[in-house]
Amino acid sequence: MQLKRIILHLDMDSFFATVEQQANPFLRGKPIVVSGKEGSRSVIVASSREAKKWGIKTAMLPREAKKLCPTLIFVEPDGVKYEYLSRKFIEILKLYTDKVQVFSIDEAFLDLTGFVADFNGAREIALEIKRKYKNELGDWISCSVGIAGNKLLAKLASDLEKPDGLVIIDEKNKEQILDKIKLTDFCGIGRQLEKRLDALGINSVSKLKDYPLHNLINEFGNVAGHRLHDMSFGIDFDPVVSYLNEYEPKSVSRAYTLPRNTWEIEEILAVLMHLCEKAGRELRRKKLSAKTLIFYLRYADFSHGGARKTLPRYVNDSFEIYQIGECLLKKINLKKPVRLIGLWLTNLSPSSQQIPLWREERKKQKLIPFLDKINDIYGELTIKPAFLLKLKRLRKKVGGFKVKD
Amino acid sequence: MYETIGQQVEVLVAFMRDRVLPLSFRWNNKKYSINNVNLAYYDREGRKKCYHYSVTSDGSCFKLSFDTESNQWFLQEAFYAA
Repeated sequence: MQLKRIILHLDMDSFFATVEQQANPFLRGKPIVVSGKEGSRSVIVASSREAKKWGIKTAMLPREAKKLCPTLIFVEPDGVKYEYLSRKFIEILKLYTDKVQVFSIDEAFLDLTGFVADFNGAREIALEIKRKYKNELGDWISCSVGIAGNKLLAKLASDLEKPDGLVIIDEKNKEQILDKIKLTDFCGIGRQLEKRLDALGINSVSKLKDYPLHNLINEFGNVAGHRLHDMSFGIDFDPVVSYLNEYEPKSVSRAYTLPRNTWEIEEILAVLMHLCEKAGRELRRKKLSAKTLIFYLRYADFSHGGARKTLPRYVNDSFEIYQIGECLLKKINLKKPVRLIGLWLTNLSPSSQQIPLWREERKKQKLIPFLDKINDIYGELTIKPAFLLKLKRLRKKVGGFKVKD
Repeated sequence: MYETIGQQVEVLVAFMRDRVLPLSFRWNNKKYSINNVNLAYYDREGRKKCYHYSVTSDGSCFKLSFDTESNQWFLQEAFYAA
C-alpha cells in the first residue's frame, strides 16, 4: 500500500534582514533593508517585515526604497552570517530525516512520509523545529511552515501566513485555498508565464482548471502543459530529493556589478579574471568541467551584450576560461559603458583524468591542484594570477552566497 | 550607523560547557560590560577559523571576532543606537 505523502516546506522569514535584527537588537521592529550603502548602485537584497509593510521589495533600487520609506535603515550584507545560520537551519532539519531538500539558502523541503502517522504528527514536528530555531539560532528568528501531501501545496501553505506561520493544506481545505489564491502564488508561475496565461483568458486557478489540457499542451508543450493542468488541481508528484542524492549542478556562474560604469577593457578583463578564478575553483572543487562558456555584460542602460562559445572539449582551468573570455570580449565594440560583468559556465560534465598531449599542458594540469591546495589552506586568492594585483577595488567576495559547501 | 573599527581589544571570556561567552572588553581605555550575546557564528579563511560575536553593551551593539590562529580578539564594528 502506498503511504500518504507528508511534506513540509520551511521558509525562514525575511531571512537576511531578520538575521541582522537578531545580531543587532536596536534594528528590531524597524524597517531595514540588506543592501549596499544608501545611494549605492546595488539593489535591495532583502527587507525586514517592517520594511515590507512600506511596499519595499527585493531588487528595488535603494533610492526608490528610501522614497517609499524615509526612515529606512540600510545594512550591508554579511554573507558569513547568513551562510552560517543557513547551515544551522539545515542541520536541525537533518535531525528528523535524511529526506531534506535544500531549496535555497533559507528554504527547505522535508519528507516525513513514514516518519509520522498523519498531518497532526507533522504539525508536532514543525512546532518542535520552530522551538529549536528560537533556541539555537536566535529568539528573533522565525520560520513559516507549510504542510501538505506534496511540494507544490506545502510551499504554497508556507506562504499563506507569514511570519511564523504554520498552515496545513489537506483534502478538506484544498479546494477552498486553491479558489482564493492568485496564479502567481504557485511556485513556478512567474510574471512572464502569468502574462501568457492571461493572454489565453486564464487569470485564476479555477479558469486554469477549466482550460482544456490539450490546449495547454499546444500552447506550452507536453511537460509544462501537464504541469500547469496538475497545478490547478493541487497535484504534484515531484519527489523531495534528499541532500544525499542531490542532482549535479547544471551550471556555475559569477557576476559582479562595478562600483562605477566603465569603458576600460582592462578593468573589465581584470574583473573577468577574478570571476574566472572563482568559477574555475568551484568547478574543480565539484570535480566538474564545462563545455559552454557564456561571458555577458550589462550596460549602463541595463541592456545586455556578450558572447558565448561551446568548445570541442571540457575545461575547468581558470586561466584557460579567462583566455577564451578575453578573446571574445576584446572583439566587442563597446558602445555604452559597462555596469556588470558576468560569467556563466554550463554544459557541465564530471572532470576526466585524460592526460594532455602537450608537455606544457601536462605541467599545468599537475600544478593546478597544488595552487588550489594553497588557497584551501590559506584562504581564497592567497595565490592568484599577477594580473589580479592591479585590481584593487574589487571586493574579495563576489557573486552571491553559498548555500552549502 | 555602523562604524567599522578593526582594532585589537582585550576581552574577558567565560568558558562554559559547550560555548565561549564574552563577558566584557576594553577599548579606548574604557571597559564595556556585555549584557547579551545576540548572535555567535564562525567562518573559515582557508585553515584559519574565526569566531564572531554580535554583542550588546548598554546602548550600543558591537561585533567582536576571535582569530584562532593569532589568538587575538578584534573589535570589528560598533553600532550606536540613536
